[in-house]
Parts: sequence; structure tokens; C-alpha cells
Amino acid sequence: MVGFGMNGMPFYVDRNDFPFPALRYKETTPEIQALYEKQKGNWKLLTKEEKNALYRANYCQTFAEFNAPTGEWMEIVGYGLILCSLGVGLFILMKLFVTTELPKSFKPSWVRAQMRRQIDLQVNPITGLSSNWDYEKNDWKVKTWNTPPNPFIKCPDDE
Amino acid sequence: MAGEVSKAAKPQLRGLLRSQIKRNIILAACVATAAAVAQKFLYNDERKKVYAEFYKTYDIEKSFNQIRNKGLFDSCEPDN
Repeated sequence: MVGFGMNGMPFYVDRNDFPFPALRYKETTPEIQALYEKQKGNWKLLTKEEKNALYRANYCQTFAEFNAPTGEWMEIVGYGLILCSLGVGLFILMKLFVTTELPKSFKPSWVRAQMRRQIDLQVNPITGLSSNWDYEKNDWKVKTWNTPPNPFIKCPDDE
Repeated sequence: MAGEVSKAAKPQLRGLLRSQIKRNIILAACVATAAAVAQKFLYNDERKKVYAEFYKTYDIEKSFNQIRNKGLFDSCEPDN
């Protein structure tokens, strides 16, 4: 062992948060031992190949190598999207084979009649529905993207 | 290779949980009072104003007769 490493046990691991493992990566050969002796002196005297040899003797991969993207996220996104599509498929099957027709109170003519009744009854006249209705104009006070159409206008499906 | 590294501030090593709890309680109290003050001044007072404005010009007899004459009450007949 050459140091404490990750947890004091004699394991080798490439990690960003524990950059100095407890063991050297490769067994010390006589050539590497000679480099260790040379390394005890001035580092400027080491050639580039010697520095690389020292690095590779002590470490398995460089930081760039073991931090490189693996593309694993594509596999995970793929599985997630497959599950989503299964959910959509289940919904389609439910709609086709399980759910029945909606009750008649969901018909647009019924909903319009309901809103006409609500406006006539002046429900929520201070901050709610009737506060947005102009009783002189018989239309909404302000029309935005989410105001329903004027329910007092006759439509073909009204009785 | 490595240039000069600036000295980082020494972290608090003793009594951290106690000091964190104290700081968090004070912060939570301040944020809660700020939220309550904002609620009062930006929402509650506006609402009270809207209600007061409505009731200044509200004639309940008129709206009662409007609704009655549309035939929407069960207990009163329309005028005709």
C-alpha cells in the first residue's frame, strides 16, 4: 500500500473524489523501480515517455478516460420511453374496451344551458363567474384565450 | 504546474447541527412572516376592496326580481 486510499483497505479504484488509490496499479518491475529512483530527483529531468510510464504504472485510467461519457443514459431513456408507450397503449385499450359513454350532462348543449342558468342566477357575482359577465352587453366583459364562447348564442344542437 | 491556491475559509467543525438549527429556525420565521405580510397587503386587502366596491352599488331587490322573472326560483312566481 502506498497511502490511505478510499477507506484504508488495500483496493485500487479510479474515483474523482478519492484521487489517490491505496495501491499502485501495476506490480513494480526493475525498470519501473529505476524510474522511481529517478523520480526522487528533479522532475524536470524526466522525459515525457518516462512521465507517461510512471503514470500508467500507478494508475489504470486517466481522469479524462474514466470520466468519459458512456452513453448509458440513452439506454435508460429508451427503457423509460418504452414504459411510457406501454402506458399510452393501456390507455388506448381502456378507451376502446372498458370505458362506456359519458353521461348526457357532458354534451356541449347541456354545458351551455348550465352556464346560461349560472349566469342568470348571478352565481359568484363579486369575484367569480358572474363578475366576468357584462349584463348590458349580454357577453363576457373581457375575452381572453380561456373564456368560453357566449352561451346565449343559439347553436344548431340546442333544443 | 499548479499555481497559487487561494486559502478557503475554515468550516465550522464543532456544534454545526445546533448552529444550523438556530439559523434555519430564524430563517423559517422570517420567511413565514414575510409570506403573511405579503398575503395581507397584496391579496386580503385587495379582496376586501373588491367586496366593498361591489356592495356600494348592489341592489339586492333588483337582482332578486331579475332572477325571479326568469323563472329560476321554486318558491316565487314570475311577474307576468
